[in-house]
Amino acid sequence: MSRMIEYEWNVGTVTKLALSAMRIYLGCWMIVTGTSYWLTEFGLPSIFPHLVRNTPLSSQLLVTLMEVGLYDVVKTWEIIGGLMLVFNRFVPLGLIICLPISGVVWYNAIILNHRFDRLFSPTYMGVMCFYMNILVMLAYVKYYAPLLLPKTSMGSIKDFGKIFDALQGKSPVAEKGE
Amino acid sequence: MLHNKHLISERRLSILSILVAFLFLGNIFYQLHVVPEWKWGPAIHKTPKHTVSDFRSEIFERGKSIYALAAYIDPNADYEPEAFPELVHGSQYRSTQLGPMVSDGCNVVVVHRLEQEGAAPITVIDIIHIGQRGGRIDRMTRYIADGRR
Repeated sequence: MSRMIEYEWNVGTVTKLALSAMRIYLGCWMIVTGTSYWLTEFGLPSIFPHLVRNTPLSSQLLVTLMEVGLYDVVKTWEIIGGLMLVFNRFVPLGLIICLPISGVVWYNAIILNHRFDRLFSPTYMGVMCFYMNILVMLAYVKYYAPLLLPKTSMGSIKDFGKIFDALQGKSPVAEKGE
Repeated sequence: MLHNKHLISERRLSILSILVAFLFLGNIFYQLHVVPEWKWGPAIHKTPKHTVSDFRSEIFERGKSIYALAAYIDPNADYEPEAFPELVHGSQYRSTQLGPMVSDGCNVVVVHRLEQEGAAPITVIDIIHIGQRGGRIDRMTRYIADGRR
C-alpha cells in the first residue's frame, strides 16, 4: 500500500508544485543535453548540435573540454544528475552534481558569449538552468545547511555507517512530522 | 479547516511526475531539435581540427571534392576559389601534411604539400576558420610557402 500524502491548496503547496516542476524540467533538460552528445558518440543523429563555434573564448573552452575528454565526463554526469532529479531520488546530491554544469553553462552563455540581453530570459535555458538549479537547491537547503558549520571536528570510521543509514532511507536531517 | 485537506497517494504522485517529465522531455526535444534553425553541417559535434581533418579526407582520400565543397563550406564563405584548385571536380591533387595540424579556437592551420602529375609540387599554409553556430567552414586563406625551412 502506497503512503498517503495530505495536502491543502495554499501558497506553500503551489510553491512546492512550482519547485517540483522546476526540478523535473531541469532534470529533463540535463538528460536531453547529455543524451544528445552521447548519441553522436554511438554514431546516431543528435538531438541538437553542440555549439563549439561561438565566440573564440567560448570555443576554446568547449574545444578544450572535448579534446581533454572532460566533455564526456560532463555529459555523463548530466544524464546521471538529470535522472536523479526526474525520478526524485538523491535529489540534494543530483542538484550538487548539476550545479557546476549549469554554472558553466551560464558563464558560457553570458560571460563568454556576451548574451547579456538574455540574462533573465525565461525561455533561455542557457541561463535558466542555473537559476532553476539554485532555486530548487534552496528548497532542499536543510540538507546543505550542515555544510555551513563554521567549526567542525573530524569523525570516526563509524561515521561511514551513516552513509548506509542514508541509503536505507534513514535521514540524518529531521523530516516533517518526525 | 479539515474540509480543505486532500489526500493523494505517493504512487499516484510519482506516476504524475513521470508523466509531467515525459511532457517536459517532449517540449525540450521540440525546442532543441525542431524549432531552432540550426545549420546542420558536417562539423557538428566535431572539434575544428577534427572537422578540417574530415574535410581533407573527403578531398584527398575519397576524391569527393564536390561533396566536400558543398557540405563543408558555407555558401557565403570568404575564400578565393582559384587558390584551392583541389576543390574543382575531377582534380587529381594529392596532399601530404608536413606538420601537425594546429588549432586555436575555431581556427585551424594546416601546412601541406600539394602535388599533381605534370606540375611542380607546392607547399601551402591553409588557415581555415569554422563558422559560428553552423558546422561549416566560413573562411579559408591559403599562403604559398617559398620552400625555405
